[in-house]
Amino acid sequence: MTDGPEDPAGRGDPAGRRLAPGQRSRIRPVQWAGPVFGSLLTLGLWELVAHSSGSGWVQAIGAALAGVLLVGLVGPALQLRRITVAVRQVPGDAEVGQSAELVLESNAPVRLRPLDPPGPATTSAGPTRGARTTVVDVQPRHRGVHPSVTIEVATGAPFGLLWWARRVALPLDHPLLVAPRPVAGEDPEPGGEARPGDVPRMMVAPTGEPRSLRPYGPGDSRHLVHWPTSAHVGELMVREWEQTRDDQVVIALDLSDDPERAERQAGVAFGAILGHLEAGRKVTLRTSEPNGPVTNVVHGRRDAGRRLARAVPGSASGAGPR
Amino acid sequence: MTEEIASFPDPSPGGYESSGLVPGAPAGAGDSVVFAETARVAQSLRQGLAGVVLGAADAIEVAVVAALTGQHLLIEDVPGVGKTVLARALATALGVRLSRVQGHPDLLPSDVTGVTIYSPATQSWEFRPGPVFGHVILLDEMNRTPPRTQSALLEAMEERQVTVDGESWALPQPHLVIGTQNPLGQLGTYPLAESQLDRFGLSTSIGYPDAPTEAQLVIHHGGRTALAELVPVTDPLGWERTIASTATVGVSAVVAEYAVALVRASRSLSGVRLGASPRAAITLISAAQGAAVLAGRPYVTPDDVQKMAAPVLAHRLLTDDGHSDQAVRRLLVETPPPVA
Amino acid sequence: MKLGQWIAQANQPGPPEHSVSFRLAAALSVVVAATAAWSQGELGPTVLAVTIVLTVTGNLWSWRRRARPWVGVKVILALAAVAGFTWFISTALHSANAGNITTIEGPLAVLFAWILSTHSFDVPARRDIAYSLAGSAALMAVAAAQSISLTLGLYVLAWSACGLWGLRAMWRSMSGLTGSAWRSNLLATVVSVLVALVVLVLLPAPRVSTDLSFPSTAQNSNPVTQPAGLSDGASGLPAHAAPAQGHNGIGGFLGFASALDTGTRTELGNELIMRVRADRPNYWVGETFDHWNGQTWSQSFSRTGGEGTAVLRTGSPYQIPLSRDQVAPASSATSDIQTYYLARSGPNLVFHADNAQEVYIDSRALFLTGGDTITSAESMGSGTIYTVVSADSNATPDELTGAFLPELPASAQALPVLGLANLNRYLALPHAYPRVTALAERITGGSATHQINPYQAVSRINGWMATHVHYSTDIPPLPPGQDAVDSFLFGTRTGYCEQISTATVVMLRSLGIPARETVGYVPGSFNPITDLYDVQAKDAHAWVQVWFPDYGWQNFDPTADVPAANPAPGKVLLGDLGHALGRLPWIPVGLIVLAALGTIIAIRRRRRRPVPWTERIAVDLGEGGARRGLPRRPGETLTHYGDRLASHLPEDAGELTRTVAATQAALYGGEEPSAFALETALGFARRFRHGGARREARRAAVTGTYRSVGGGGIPTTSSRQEERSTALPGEMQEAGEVQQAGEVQEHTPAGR
Repeated sequence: MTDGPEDPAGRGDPAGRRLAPGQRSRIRPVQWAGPVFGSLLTLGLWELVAHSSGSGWVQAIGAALAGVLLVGLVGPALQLRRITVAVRQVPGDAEVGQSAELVLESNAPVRLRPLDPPGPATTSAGPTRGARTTVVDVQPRHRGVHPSVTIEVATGAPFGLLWWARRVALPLDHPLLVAPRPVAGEDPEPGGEARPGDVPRMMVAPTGEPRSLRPYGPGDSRHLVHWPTSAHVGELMVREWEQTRDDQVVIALDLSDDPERAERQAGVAFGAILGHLEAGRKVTLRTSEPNGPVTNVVHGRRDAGRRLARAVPGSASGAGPR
Repeated sequence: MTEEIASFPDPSPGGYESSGLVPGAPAGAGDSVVFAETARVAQSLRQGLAGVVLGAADAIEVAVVAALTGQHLLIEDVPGVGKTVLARALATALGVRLSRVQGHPDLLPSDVTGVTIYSPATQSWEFRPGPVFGHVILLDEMNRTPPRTQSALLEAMEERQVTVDGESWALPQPHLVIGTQNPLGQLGTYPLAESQLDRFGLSTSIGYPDAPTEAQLVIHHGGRTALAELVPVTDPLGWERTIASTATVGVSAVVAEYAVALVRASRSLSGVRLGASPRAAITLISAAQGAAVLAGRPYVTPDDVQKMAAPVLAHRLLTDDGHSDQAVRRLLVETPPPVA
Repeated sequence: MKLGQWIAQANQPGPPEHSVSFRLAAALSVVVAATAAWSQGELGPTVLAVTIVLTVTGNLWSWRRRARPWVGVKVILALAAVAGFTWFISTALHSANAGNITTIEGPLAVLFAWILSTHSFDVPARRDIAYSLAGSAALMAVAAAQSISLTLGLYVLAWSACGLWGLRAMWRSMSGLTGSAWRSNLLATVVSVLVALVVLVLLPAPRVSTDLSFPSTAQNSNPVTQPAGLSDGASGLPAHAAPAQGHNGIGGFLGFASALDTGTRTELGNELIMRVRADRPNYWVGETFDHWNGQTWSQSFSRTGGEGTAVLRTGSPYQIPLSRDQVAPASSATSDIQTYYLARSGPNLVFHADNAQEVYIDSRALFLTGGDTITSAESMGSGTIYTVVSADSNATPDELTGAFLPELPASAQALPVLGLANLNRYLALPHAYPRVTALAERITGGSATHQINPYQAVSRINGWMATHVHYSTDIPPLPPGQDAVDSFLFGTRTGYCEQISTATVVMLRSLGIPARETVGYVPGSFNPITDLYDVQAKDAHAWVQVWFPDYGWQNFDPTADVPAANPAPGKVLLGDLGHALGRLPWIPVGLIVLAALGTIIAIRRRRRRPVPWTERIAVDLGEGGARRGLPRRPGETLTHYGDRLASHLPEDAGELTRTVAATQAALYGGEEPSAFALETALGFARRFRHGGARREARRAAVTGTYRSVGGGGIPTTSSRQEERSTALPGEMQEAGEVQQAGEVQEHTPAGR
């Protein structure tokens, strides 16, 4: 399996081993102890009664019970072997902490639970036979790029006595980009004060000529606060900058190697970008992507989310323009 | 008004004989040289057009297929997206001049076909051919012309000849009409009848370019610089040969059945009021041959048919919601293609 | 987790169940189970009515309040359950046979019905309804435990149907399914039934537990007018040997009377006489006869008292004393319990397996004769039940072979040493049988003066009978004045059990071996469902008992062999199936089946045109893709599909493209591939179809090609990480420059 060193905790896949796209795991029963031991106990007691009473009728009823229990316990496994699930529709983007809808198609009734990214289980309703589509909610917990989604496919047919499940990794037509959860109100540190591996290494560069003062807004650097005026007016005032086109902010994202911290850094950056965008500024984001550093203007929330989803650890600032 | 008038019609084309192969039979080895030349012309055409008309790969492909198969082309689009440039580039690449007819409500049939006038010099009545006597004709904003002129034009397209004062004049061969149409519903338009639209073998639209392409357009002056630098890749004679060669591209029975099935299914498709005519099936096969040539293949596959389904069928379908391209997409999903 | 929390969680009501169908099925199965219990006499009609009313109203109430269940109902139900258990325990303790399953069966059924019907007031959620469904199985079990009739089958069928219906309804409700489901319902039913049949066949036969009580009831019984005499069941009138042409004997058998006339002929019917629940098949002994007069067997013991006769008035259970001519069973003897359920009125004979020791019977008195015949003081009407515990001496052939009779002078009257008090009775012959004696001596090689082993003698006579005598019930009546044995052995040598056994007894007696005639029933056919031996009129039989020193009387059946073992119910079912199949008219059926098969094959042949290789590849790729979550979409051409697969499966991209291209060139361009290319393409498609998942897993494990980037794991290769760490300081510096410069220029990564 691809339990690579980059994910030692295996957090993305609560079920343990990670699957390659297109791969399916073994079929295994879900919460089998209750149904299986319950059935065994029932049948054992039944056989005891059948023998002690010596009545063939008890035995016949016990056999009927055994038939139903066996079919109920084993049937789903056989059924599951024939079930195929495919992705019908993938959302382009997702954001940590928010639901995204995934449309899946299956050829039989199933219960679908997204594992990576995770989400609640959804039962595919509809006719008893034939193909059906199911809308499944995924609620990503971590930023990143998903070339495939891992789904737990489960069925209890024909009686629902025991559920069997298998994990399948479904390749996506286009990767699902999960943006970090925006963390608002925290100013990214200007690059000059950054210490490696300590604080989010992001730089906010105000550009242009000072023009006037305006009330403080989210994302404004505290270096822009004009303290005398603030004292005079009674609220935080910041210097505003005259620009030829509009405000420009450059954010260079230098993610930490520690996934936890990188997640938070990306979230802070996302919050900052959103704040700047809301304030009507032009934001240029510099990130490091698998193919190398990328510097580009951010076009909006979705664009920013995608960029941050793709970002990998590594300083992007080095490749910037001189 | 006519903008440019082509030189007097070229006499009938040279003695290129068809290889004798009928569609349906795979191209034999003896045609490989001819086919290679055809494929080269097709590729050059596409490259040439791509350099001039930016960001419209689909439209270029359809235009090239139109040129390869001699099918008339309908471009439905808003003004200013490069229809003229596309037509002009196509004409240039084919080594001919473009005849352009701008449609407007006062356009008379004779403005298009030509008039017989008395020539004082020769003391006789002479026929002054109209712009329709060209190899490549751009009929701009067709639906602004009155129905009378439309029918005259379309008769010329169909018959490949013009009758003026009882005398018939053959149009130069090959003959390619590129008609453009404003989106329907605009004021002062005379919608073309379905039968008239049927005369156009293929339809396409260029669409607005995306931002970077638009920037490139601005930089390159709408492609006019590139247009000036465009070199012809063939001449009318070679074009004629190319058309003949394209028509020999092999079409297997399975593919032909698939094309026919698509056309037939279009008539029973939900949300479609009027399906495609039998002529559409012939055109679809022919266009698929063009697509195969563009792909460098001497035989047609179901993919070629699918690729050409929208250009061939979309403008022939009359749908309830007006989105005939979506109807064609549904058609492709609902009609099973050959398994292999 | 704390216990309190756990209890609270377990008692938390689940989400309300809205499926009416599921509810209905569960309620119906409870009602059916209760009705089944009533039909088997476990529940009274009042209890049944109360159960049905409670179940119906309870379910209606639960349905109405399913969204807002009332907590108080749980308290009430708990109280009801406690009350039920208290009643049950007190009833069980006060019953005659406390601690025995069978005696508490009735109260148990009432308790179950009570719990189930009160529980139906608290079934708001799916889990609760499922409990209801499961509980009905327990009630069904109680109903079935003592059932002796096949009519329970109807209830079992109805209950099974309700159960299956309920389970399916539960699944449909669970998975939100809609629409018609008859196909999957049918499939589930058929598969369940098949599995159940297989289980039934594989399960060993149920064994009667020795822990059971010994049921006995007298029904439709009257006091016998002539005490200690024989009577028929209906009127208590004395039973007489019926006239030869009559059919008024018991079930057509004329033997169960004070005498057995071997000269009469009769035909035995198929009427069910009685059912016997027993540990093992055995001969159900009715009467024994010791006195032979040349045509008729009778008992020389007086039935009204006297030598060898005892009257027991102890009340049930009756301890049967050892008769004077019997030998006390060895310690190795096993007790053999039989319960007789009389289906029709019969003589007041108490049938029993040999060596009856205890009789549980509802009767004022029992009469014993010296011939080990037990009669009751009550006539036995249909519905009478009594239980006999016998000691089976388990004598093996080897043991019997070792049991020699001592050489005795012909005048000896008794074998007191050996325990046989009335030797004469069992050696007496009405007259000399010279021919018979000669024949017996010739067969056995022994004689009255030259004692041989009795077991050998019986075996040899049995063997001779098997080879020299023909069995038939259709024989002419005995001509008057003739000796039955003489005319049988030296006449037609055709007869049935009476003739054969009588001849055997006479031959044995002529050799000096004590023997007597016995009438009763063979075990009858075993019904694996009711676990009872169904004894029919035609199972009436006459056989031989031979006396052995140390072992006493032993049964020998010269007419037929005793069935060997208690067969498993499944085996019997299979056997019946085999018999049924054997009765099928095989030739016409075979012809029809063949014709049907031929038609099907012909149709399939026509339908299944030869699949071209291109199509096979297309199908293989489609299957393989579907396995990987990339099924072919409707309307998608193979080329497009192949491209899509290739884009997702870079490892296979090359092969995929080549394979698809080969099919396209062949199909549409007429370019037949080389044999090698064809084989490669087909091979790849086959591998792609079958070995995909495993191969991919292996490949992924080996090369790590696939890396998920999701969930916070950040995809980098180690080399990239190194690069980054070394490049870090410089980058930082440049970052600072950017800020200081305060100007930004757009650029695309492609430009750098």
